Amino acid sequence: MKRDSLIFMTVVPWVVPVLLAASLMLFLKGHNAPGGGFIAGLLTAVALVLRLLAYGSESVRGKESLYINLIIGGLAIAATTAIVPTLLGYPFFTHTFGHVHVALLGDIELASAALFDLGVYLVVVGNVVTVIVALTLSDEPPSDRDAQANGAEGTGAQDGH
Amino acid sequence: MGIEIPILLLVGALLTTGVYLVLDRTLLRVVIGLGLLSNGTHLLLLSTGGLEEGAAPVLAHGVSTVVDPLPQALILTAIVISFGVTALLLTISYGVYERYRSDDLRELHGRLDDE
Amino acid sequence: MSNLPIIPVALPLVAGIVLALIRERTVASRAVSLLVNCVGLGVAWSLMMKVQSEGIQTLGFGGWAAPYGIFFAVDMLSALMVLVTMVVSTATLLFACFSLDEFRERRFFYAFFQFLLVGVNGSFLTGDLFNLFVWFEVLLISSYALMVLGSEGYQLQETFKYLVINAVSSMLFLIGVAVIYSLTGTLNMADLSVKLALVEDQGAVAAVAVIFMMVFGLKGGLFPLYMWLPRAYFAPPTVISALFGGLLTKVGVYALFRTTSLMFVDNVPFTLPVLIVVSAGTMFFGVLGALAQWDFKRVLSYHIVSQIGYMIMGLAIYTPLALAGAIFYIVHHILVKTALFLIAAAVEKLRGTTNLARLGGVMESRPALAVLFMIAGLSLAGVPPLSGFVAKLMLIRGGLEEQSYFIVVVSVLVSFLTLFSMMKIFRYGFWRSSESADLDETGAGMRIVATSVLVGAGIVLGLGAVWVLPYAELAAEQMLDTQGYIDAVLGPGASN
Repeated sequence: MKRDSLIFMTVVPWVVPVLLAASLMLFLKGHNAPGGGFIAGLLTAVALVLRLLAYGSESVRGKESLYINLIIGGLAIAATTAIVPTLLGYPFFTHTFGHVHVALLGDIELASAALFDLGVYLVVVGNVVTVIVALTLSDEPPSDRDAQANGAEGTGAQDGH
Repeated sequence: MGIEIPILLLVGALLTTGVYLVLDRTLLRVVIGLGLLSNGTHLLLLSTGGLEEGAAPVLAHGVSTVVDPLPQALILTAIVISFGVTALLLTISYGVYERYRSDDLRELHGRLDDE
Repeated sequence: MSNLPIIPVALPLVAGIVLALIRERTVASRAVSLLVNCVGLGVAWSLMMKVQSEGIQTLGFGGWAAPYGIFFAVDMLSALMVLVTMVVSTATLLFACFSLDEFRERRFFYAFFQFLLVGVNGSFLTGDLFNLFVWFEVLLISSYALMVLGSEGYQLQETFKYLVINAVSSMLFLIGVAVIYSLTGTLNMADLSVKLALVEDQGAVAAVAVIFMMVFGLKGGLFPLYMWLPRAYFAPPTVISALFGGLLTKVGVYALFRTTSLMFVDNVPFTLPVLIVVSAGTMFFGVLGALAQWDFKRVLSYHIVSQIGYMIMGLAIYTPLALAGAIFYIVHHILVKTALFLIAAAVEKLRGTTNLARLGGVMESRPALAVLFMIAGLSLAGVPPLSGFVAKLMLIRGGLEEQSYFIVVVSVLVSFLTLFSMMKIFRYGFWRSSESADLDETGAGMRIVATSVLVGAGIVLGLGAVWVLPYAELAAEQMLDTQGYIDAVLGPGASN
């Protein structure tokens, strides 16, 4: 579906970077404050969907499998952070953290839970975009049956949570 | 305590509307009804931890009043799940619509069984 | 603290991710899933051995202590269920490799299969009420995906209904969790077992008990909430129905066993009387539904309902003998019912239909299938010396000892009706001569191998009941000994 709205198409390039920056902030804040991978993922997905609405589905056509792989990759990252501790002899899902000192930025806390969050983030982005692409693509005359199945698969990948 | 009463009233309103919509014959209304049902349930879950005005679920410097964070974690999980389920439900109803050009169960009745 | 209890969940999770990545390579997918399932089988076996020798196993995620973190608690019942799950899923997988169409195989069938196992095993192993909800959702979402895979009109319609019913029951589950959390401030089932008795408002506890009975009754297909089941299990390809019919409802039954024994028997006086009535209704109306059907798969689906009545009967009588019988029954049912569905799938592959009016003559062209069906069908009906007989005998003896004559009479009657219904399938589907020609088929040999593994397991279960019963008895003993479970989870003396 393509909306030829000039205002919309002009505004979107300005809004998308803001949304992406906000989602990055939410992601980084999420460890010890409100925010986190899920919300950041949703915000990024909103940015991508805005682009889709403004420029039509050409911008994502052919990239469906990319988003599915995003889901799988995110799932893999999240699962790895849960499983690696068991290999080291700790209980499943044990998390750890450490502090690193970086020039200019000062003391930074690095937590392995952030990796899990990264996985969640990727799953959410991939998932939302896959679903919406599946629903919009099937709206168009060239009947692409596959797109629908993609939607179903995207949802199933939520299983990792 | 004061803030819980309006929340619970809202829960009741959401759940009744949700049940009404789920019993409808239009697939899209069923999907929306399920959304309302899950939102009502999540609010109910939120109120179980005890609500207090201005209290945050996260402990940080300078925060004096805190509410139980567990229900909020549970709600987030439940939201993620209902998000996934709703997406799948929408895709399925869209599939039905695309195939039969109708999402009214009265019109679909019989046509789907023939396959 | 050993990580063994998490492996039956983590292994299929990793396998599912890998299988999603290699979805285009069907041969590799088959090999990986079969291999993983065999490893999982070994893990489940060693978990059961460990529970038998060392008692209840526990694992707190992330090293959190008992009532706070997410907790896995594995007693004999859980371990037994996981083992049976792995057995039937391996056989079903083998069957699926040689019967599923390429389209479904490429469309993430194997990945969703593993995710389904994640959910099923997680539900069996967890000791936390909310975590149970999450595992239920994992298995449900995977089952939605498996059910709708292929997107045929009938599948879309049935999946929609199945999804709506399950989503509503999940909301009820959440409401139950919310109420119970506001009453006690905990969600750990062992902790709940202690704290529910201390709640002042016992009326609220009774309400929660009713909510949970409804939720698990819906998921498990109990009377009067089973209406969704036969139609839903008819929708997907028969091999997927086999997995659903064998496993999914039993997760609901297991959850009912777990919550009833830990939380509600001591606190809510009407639990067991209600369950007696429910079990009689489930058995009787299920079998009546089966008698009215003229389709192989539908008859089997209604029998799932009827059989679940027997399991609930054991729970409702609530003596060591009856509970051991019920647990033995669950194991027997999962094996035999999956085998029957697989036979139905093989017949469908052979003839292209499961309508009994159009079937016939399978006995002549595939005698092996007919023999397998005969054994499994008689076992389901409870003919000695097969496993169904042992299970029913224990249940009926348990009922007689408690003077619950009503339920005993119903169960015996239902057994005869089950036998009648199995004979109907045999008479029309296998025995009578028919002109309908066999379809050209590949992989028939492997399908029969997969089915005979399950039927063989069923025979061993019946003839070797002496070896299996101690496990069921231990499971029943641990179920009745809630204090032992509480001590294992919270640490001894914590309940005071």
